Amino acid sequence: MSARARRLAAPRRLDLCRQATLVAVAVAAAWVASVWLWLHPTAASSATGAPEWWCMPSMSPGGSAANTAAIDLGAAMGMWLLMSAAMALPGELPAVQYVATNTFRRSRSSAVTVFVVVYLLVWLVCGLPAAIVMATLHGLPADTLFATALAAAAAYELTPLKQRALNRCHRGAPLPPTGLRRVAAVARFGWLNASGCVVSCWPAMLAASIAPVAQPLAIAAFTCTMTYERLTRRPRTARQRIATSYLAIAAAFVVVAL
Amino acid sequence: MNGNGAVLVRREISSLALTDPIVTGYARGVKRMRERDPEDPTSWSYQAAIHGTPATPASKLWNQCQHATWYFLPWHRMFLYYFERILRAAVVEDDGPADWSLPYWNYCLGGPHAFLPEPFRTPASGEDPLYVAERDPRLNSGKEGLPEYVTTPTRALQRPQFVGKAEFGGPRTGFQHSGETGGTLEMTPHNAVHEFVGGLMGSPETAALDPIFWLHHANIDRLWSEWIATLGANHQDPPDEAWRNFSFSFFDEHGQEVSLHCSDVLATAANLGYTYDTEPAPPPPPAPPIAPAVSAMKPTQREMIGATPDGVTLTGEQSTVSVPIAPQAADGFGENVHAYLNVEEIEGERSPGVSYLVYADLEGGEPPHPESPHYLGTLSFFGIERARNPVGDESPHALQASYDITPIARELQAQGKWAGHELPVTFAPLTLVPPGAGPTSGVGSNPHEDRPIRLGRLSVFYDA
Repeated sequence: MSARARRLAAPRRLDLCRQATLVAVAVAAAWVASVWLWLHPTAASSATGAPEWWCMPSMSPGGSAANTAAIDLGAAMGMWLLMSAAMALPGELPAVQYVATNTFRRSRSSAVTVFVVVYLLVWLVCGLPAAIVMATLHGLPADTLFATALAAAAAYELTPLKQRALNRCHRGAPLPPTGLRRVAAVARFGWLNASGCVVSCWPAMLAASIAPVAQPLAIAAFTCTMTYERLTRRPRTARQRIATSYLAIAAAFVVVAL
Repeated sequence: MNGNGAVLVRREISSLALTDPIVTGYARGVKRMRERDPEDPTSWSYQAAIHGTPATPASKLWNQCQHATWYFLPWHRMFLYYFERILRAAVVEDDGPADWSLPYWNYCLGGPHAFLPEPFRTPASGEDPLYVAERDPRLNSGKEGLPEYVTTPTRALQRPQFVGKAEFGGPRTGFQHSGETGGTLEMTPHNAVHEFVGGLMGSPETAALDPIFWLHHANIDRLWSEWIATLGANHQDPPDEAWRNFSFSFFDEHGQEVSLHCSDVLATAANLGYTYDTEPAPPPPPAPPIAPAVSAMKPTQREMIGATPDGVTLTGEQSTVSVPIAPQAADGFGENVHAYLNVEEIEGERSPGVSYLVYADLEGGEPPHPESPHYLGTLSFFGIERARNPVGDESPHALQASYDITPIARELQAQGKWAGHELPVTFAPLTLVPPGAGPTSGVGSNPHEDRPIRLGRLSVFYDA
């Protein structure tokens, strides 16, 4: 099959409903905020109360920030939530569309809200152990740490656990049309997607968090890989390509570090 | 096309005597292909694996069959074309006729044609290359046949469009080895016949190992030609470049890898050198496209107007499920809007080998005639074992089925029984039928408690 034919044969561009479009706008807003925080790390730190290494670019544990005071957990969680929305939600737009389409028109907005809130809550809860890991790693050699995290993420891409987690993200859910049962089913669907995504993506999220240089670009790159493997029709091929890319970048960092 | 460039004719199997060179040649060709090294792309097992196989690691071009997609028909046409060339070469090697062509099984004719063709039934003695012991023994013995609900292509041939979930050819997708929802022809009779023959035919991973597979698919291929030829210019293959320029690879009779685009296989006589003995006259030239009238009530997107709060588990007994239609369904049902019944999130560990008749049970009475608008089609589970656990480079999914219920919805709307009321939908298990059975025969208990099938939800949508 020619490359052109493959391109032509790709499914049509997702025709997003209003609710999915709003989620896409929220993702864009998360990106704007992330870039602003990267450009104004000190201001961001004082505004949010977060330690500087949680604020890009000094979010990296190996960064130059001197402030190692006790973590303001709330601010740190806010940063984590922002990063989760920016990185993980793009791959969930089809799931958002699924919820909206399979709900009565009058209930679409509330159903999508339930889905997104549950989805982000799961990621938020995972932010706590992430903060502990970040604090533990703080001060270690940045390049080596990043290369190690990338190599681990590459290996993880090829494990059955990763495949099972990705498969979990592809499960649909019968949604009752009305009432509390609908809310519960949508919440469960959000949990299924979020838990699958957390198990699938945590090494990439960790690596993105400790990128020693150009962190917004690194986060953007990891967002692309996470979204690609979530939406592709060729998941095995995607995981192999991503693992190869991670390994190549890790090797480059090792070479530079040496 | 044979060596002289003549167009070959694929013939209906029951019109051929047991000693006809087409029949004997097929048996000898199958035997010869089975004797080849399994690594040979022209061997029987390798050709079957191109359709699907549970074997790993996969060799080149294995697990390529296209299901639940608008590529279902062109892929299988190409697959049959190269298989026919391989088998013809094997026939010629065995001193058979050089103009050998693949026969087809036209169960759509009903009556004796709905029984397994005689050359494939239980042999009197010895090994018969066309006999497969794993099939349903009642079918293999010739004592029972397929019910008309399963063999009728009427609903499929009535579909006005090629592309779409509940349309003739299937939904627009990319490369798709297995998917959620097939077109109407794929659902009935294609999937249902696979289920009823059973054994190897019951799974996409083994189906092409049964010699009847190729005759079944030749009939599906013939029905594609028939659909194009009926209703004139209204029935057309997709004009989309994405469909026409998509190509698939196969092996020819020399074991060489070859490719065809979908656009290469639309004119079978001119481009592939074959036709069917029932080939209708070619359609008139297409009329200029007419812009569809836009209804003021046209919804801006698919609109759910009813759904069940619970699913239902099928174990081989009849089940009726009522789908509550929301009061707001009174709005948005413009003249260009269709109403669809969706059976969503169909899950099961493996196929039960049972197909279900699906009908709108408006009167609470007997199953409708296959020509009745209350007959929606059949529900089969061909390929369900791999839906959640795909063998290829694919993501898992649940099966779905869609039925166009627009005539029923309009009938109910006219009676004031649509919006705010319930639509009763019945799933009735189908069974094989004895000789002389009527068109509404074949409905009855067919237990499969050990292989239950869960239907996650039934919903009704408006879609333009």
